[in-house]
Amino acid sequence: MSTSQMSMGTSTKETMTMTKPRTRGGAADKAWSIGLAGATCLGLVGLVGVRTITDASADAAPAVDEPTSSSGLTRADLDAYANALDAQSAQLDNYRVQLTEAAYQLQAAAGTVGLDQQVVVQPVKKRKNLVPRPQAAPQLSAQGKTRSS
Amino acid sequence: MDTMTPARIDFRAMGTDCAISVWSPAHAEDLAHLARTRVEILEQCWSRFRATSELSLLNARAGQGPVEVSEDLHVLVSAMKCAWERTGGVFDPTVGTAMRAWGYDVTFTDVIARHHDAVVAHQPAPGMAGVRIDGCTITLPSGVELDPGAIGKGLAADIIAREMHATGATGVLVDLGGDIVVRGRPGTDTWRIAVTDEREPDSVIHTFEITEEHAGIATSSVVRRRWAGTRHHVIDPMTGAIADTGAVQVTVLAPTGADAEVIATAAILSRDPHQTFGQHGVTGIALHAHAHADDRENPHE
Repeated sequence: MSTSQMSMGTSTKETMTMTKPRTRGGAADKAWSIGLAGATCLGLVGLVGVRTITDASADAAPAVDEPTSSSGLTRADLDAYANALDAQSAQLDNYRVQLTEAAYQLQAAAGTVGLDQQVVVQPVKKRKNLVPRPQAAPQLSAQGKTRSS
Repeated sequence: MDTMTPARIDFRAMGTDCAISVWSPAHAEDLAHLARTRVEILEQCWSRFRATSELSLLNARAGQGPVEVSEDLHVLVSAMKCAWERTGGVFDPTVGTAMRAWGYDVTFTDVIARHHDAVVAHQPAPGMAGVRIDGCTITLPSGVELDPGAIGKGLAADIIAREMHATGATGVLVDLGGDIVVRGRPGTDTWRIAVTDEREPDSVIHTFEITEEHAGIATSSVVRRRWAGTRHHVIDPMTGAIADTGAVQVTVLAPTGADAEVIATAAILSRDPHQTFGQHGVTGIALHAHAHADDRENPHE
């Protein structure tokens, strides 16, 4: 945003200089001169303003490796966390899509979902993010054994 | 609908052995694998041993104002605060700093591989009073480190069993290292959960027959997860010291896994576990250091 404001100020000045060649004398020329001077001043004020904003931003955002917290977190750490959280969120979304699909399949198997509803459901990306299945399923019973975790 | 197709998977997660069994008219194996995926998602969010977990980020930002958190982390911290209030602070997830001081700051496999001889200057856990939960943000006061150790597995099992059952499974058993949640029915059978005296691993001192639609069973014990001779993972939040109440193992049957785990922890920290069972209206079994066989067979209800 700061960069774009700076280039706008600069291009305004250049465009006005290029598109209206200077001539001496006359009311129209005077008006142009006043306009040009005004535009230049505005451009300078804009530049100074943009620099001030940029400097303030630099103060608020330390360099990547400088700790931003008392616990020593750096901006790089925070970026890494942000990426990890994005991945976590995407994995959860994917899980929920698959869960919804499984629910529709079970309801369809039980005959509680009409054909039109089944068509609406997007096919699941088959087991893309699921872990490999064990080679042999262990014996199953309705029992468990509690122990300290 | 006449035939029930059950499936079971066994795997390692959350630093322990896990097993998930699903009963369903169809797609039981798919649901079991989805359940395992959910365990892994929750572990990545809640683990205090993973530097990139969301909980680690929250702990690292203690004392630095509100942190926007995911729904899963919000659920965990809300459950922690609720349990802390319900038990009058006996269950306290802010023992994280004390746990770290005692040497349990990495996975248990790494803990027992290290040498521990430093004297620990322990102090009371800070408690959850200063933890603020506002909308989707959580604020931890400086010095507070949350440890999901005595609630996370039970709560995770609750979430997974509920989601699988809502999806269409007719019966689900989620066992995360002995913290067990059952939901629905295993076909036409009832759930049977055996309780072992951990000092005699092959023994079965009681079997819970569960007819409710959902239940949680959890055991808190100082027999396992020991290191450096006398150290174990049950910390008294009032002092920050390793707990020594005489009880060596407590098993609780409660409506949910989170409740069972929290109440088992509160009971093993109390001088009278049976009083704790009564306060919370749950069934429980407590074993003491010199328990006789007769004392072990009748659970308090």
